[in-house]
Amino acid sequence: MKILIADDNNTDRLILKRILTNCGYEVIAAVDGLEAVEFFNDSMPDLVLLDAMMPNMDGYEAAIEIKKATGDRLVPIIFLTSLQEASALAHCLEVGGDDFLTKPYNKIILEAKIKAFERMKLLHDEVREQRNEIQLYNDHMIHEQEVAKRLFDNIAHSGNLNQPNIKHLLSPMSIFNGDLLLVARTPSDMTHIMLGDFTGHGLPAAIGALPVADIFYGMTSKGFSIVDIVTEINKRLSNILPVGVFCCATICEINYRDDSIISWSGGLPDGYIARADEGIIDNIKSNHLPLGVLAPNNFSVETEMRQFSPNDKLYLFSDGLLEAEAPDGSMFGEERLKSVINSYEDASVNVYDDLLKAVADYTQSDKQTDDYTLIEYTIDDLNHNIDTAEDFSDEERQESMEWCFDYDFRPSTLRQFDPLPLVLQILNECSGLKDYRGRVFTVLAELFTNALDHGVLGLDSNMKKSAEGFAKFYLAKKDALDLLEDGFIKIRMEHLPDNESKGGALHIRIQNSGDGFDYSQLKAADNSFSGRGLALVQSLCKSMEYSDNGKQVDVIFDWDYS
Amino acid sequence: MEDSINMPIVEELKQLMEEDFPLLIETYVNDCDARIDALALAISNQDATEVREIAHAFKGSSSNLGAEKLTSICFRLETMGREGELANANDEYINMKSEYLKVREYFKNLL
Amino acid sequence: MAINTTEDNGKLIIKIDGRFDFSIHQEFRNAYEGAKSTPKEYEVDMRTTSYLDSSALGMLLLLRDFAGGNNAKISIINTSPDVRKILTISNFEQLFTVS
Repeated sequence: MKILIADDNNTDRLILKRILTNCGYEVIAAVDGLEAVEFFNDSMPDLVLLDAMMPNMDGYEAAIEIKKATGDRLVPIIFLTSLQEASALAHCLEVGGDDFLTKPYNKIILEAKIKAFERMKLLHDEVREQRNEIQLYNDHMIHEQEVAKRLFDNIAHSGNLNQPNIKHLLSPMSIFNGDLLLVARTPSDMTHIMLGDFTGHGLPAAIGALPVADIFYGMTSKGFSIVDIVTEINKRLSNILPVGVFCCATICEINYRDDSIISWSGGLPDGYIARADEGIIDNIKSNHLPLGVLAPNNFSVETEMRQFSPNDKLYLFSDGLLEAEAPDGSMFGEERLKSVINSYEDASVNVYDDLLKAVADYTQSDKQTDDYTLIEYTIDDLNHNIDTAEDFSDEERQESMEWCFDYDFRPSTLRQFDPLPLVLQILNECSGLKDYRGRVFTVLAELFTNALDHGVLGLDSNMKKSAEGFAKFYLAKKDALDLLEDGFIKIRMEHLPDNESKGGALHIRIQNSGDGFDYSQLKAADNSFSGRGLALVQSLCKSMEYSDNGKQVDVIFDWDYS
Repeated sequence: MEDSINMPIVEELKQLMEEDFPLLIETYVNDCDARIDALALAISNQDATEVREIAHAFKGSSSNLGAEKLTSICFRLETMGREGELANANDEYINMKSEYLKVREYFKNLL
Repeated sequence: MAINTTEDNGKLIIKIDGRFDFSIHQEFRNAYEGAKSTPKEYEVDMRTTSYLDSSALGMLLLLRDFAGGNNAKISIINTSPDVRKILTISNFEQLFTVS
């Protein structure tokens, strides 16, 4: 160890130097404060002994200068003093001295103190080294996480959120947070929205999110309803997540054909639907256990259905929003949140911006510690861009195929099974038609729903015209399905290629076992069908014909490679 | 010399300094020769601060070398200087000078 | 100790004091894993529990799994309104008897 000593008294200095060299230390000797500082900077000693009273620069000043130069190294300073008064001794410590020794020098005490500081210094150096190692390791880990995050983002946060009617905020906390925000469209242009909040943060939460996103996007693009999707997600999570880890979630399906929202919610705080000039008109309550808790056979999939009006706004958020803390520890809470959303009573208010501002003002935080995820989805008059944005692999133009199949669905199937996504899968086999999946699915969905609701179940669509009638309709449908014992829906699909255009014609026939109806009522004078759904079908198809007293409908959908 | 010098301390010093013992003695003698004159000047100038500082340094060195009687006299002069009471300083100085010469003689003979 | 355990006639009573969060994760596990005999039922007493977070919900699920899953008999008692609310939102009343 290298020790710097400074003492203006020659005999003192000689004796001190000798004591220290005999102990085996390397000694650098200065005669005053100035020299002490100079020698310190030149030789970087491990320990400094400073006489308090020296000419040119005394020990106190020298100590201050030396402390400035040490950085994060520990270099103890021991004052050498014959001053006895307490205030003088205290002053030594005030200026950064770590200890003091009184003169005349006692060899034993001096040695003991130096050894003690030596041990302390070793410990300090060890800690510093470990800290540097940990720092390095931490930097590596963060870098790896950042790479993984890009991967994760590609899967879990891909596209779809940057639409004009969506405003959202994803929690910036930690590189991976357990929050999921997913929006996708089915082939028939229904919108699925999911907000998920895994327990905990970090890597485990993020890894759980990957299969969820995969299932959500995959099944939505195939036209499955949220009922099937949420069942499948729960099944997967209950398989892969350890006990105690789960995902609180709300999923909504927005159906533009009949202006309805279906929702399933487990574990998240209430979502809200707000209407212009009215404020909050409805809550989306958590009626279920979070995803991943219940085994598949115990899982309950009761959904809620409501009607919406154009420009209604749907709000979903994670509990971090309610728990956002003010500096005094109190939480933002449900009441404040509701009062901001209720300001939509004035339709010109920008609720989303007001909400963000309200929380920011309340917490007075910088953005980095905000830990909440939120989405505002405005249910506007959607521009029906029916070609779903899905990546198809580039395939060579194959020879167009000729095929035909018949499906016959009986009551037990109709009760619990949505056959359309599977029917749609067939189309994937026919390259070329794949590009028209959206349109075909819309046609199929509309015709099938009519066949089921009005044909087999005999429900009156006029019921849906009012808000209460709407709810009654769907209850009535559920009851009717439960009681259904006889009946069927047959779907026939036949595809004939057109060798000239390289495309083809898809002939869809749907028959049902109901009582039929007078379809001439539907046709207006110019032979077109009223009723939004049927008008849409007619616009998509080359032809549409009812027969057999309204129990059978035939449409021809033709296409070519464009 | 036993009432002037603490022999065991001198012995210890000899063992500590080994071949540098003479250097130590010479340093002491040179420093104190200068100090004794400076002290006389300070007292004649009635400079209490100066008296205190010189006496303090003198005391320190002397105590290191075990010259205990000399150390006590220095302490008394240091106190006079600190309190600004130099009335008896001259008398004390005479004691000090005489004791110092004794000690000086003793150490020089050790070399 | 944030957790106090007593056994009463085949029933294991776990009392949680203060914040029920990840910091008492190990203590909570020790409380039911270290019981002298296998209890027939469990009671989690939250009279002095101030706060419950999602990791606490996870811990309750672990207890339920340990105690036999669907066959477990676990009641959560003396919940304050705040704590009760958290259990209600996550619908844990479907898995535990809450009062």
